Amino acid sequence: MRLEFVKAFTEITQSVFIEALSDNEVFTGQPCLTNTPHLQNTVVATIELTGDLSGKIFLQMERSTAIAIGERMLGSTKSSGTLITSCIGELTSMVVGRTISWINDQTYQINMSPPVITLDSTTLAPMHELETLIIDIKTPQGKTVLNVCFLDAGYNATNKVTGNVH
Amino acid sequence: MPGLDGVETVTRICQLNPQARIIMVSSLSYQDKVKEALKAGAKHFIVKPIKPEILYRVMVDVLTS
Repeated sequence: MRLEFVKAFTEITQSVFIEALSDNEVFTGQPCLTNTPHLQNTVVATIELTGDLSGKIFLQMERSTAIAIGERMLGSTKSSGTLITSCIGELTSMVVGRTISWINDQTYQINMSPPVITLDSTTLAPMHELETLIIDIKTPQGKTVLNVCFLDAGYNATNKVTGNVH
Repeated sequence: MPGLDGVETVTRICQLNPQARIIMVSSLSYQDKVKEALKAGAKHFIVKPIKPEILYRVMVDVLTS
């Protein structure tokens, strides 16, 4: 994966979380590259990419974290499950949308689908082996994990790297 | 939005009411998308997440211009 994409996803994700949660106590961990997405938590928001990059982006978290984040975004502790789900979709959309916008401004053409929320990650269809960038996001509401897996047709396969990104 | 994207929505609203003052709010903010929205008839473009004070200022600008 291109280093500038790793940097963009890491920095923009943190920035969007800080703005959306109105809280500066949001930190991203060391980005990591693997061969497949790691989806372990209950709540998963998925956005599909098409165009110059094709693949999927997942934002996953525990149910308790999703509720806490949704309530924080809504400014209310009496929110329905539908509203919480909508907030998680919106948050994912903002993270991906802003990053894709940055990438598109670098002469790429990428389209994104609306977010789809799954409440049980075991029901997701298994993914083929595809280079995946994993970023942990630590918030006061709990930990979330961003899995970014796409095929970059224009990228030379010999540049493929697996392991920690330094 | 199923079956219709934001820019198409702006176009259709402007066809129905050319006087409509539309502020587009989107997560997608690349230059081509912003230009497309403004060309379709949007008066302003705000990138999500929205800050209430910015939305208020933009609404005032759009309504008084």
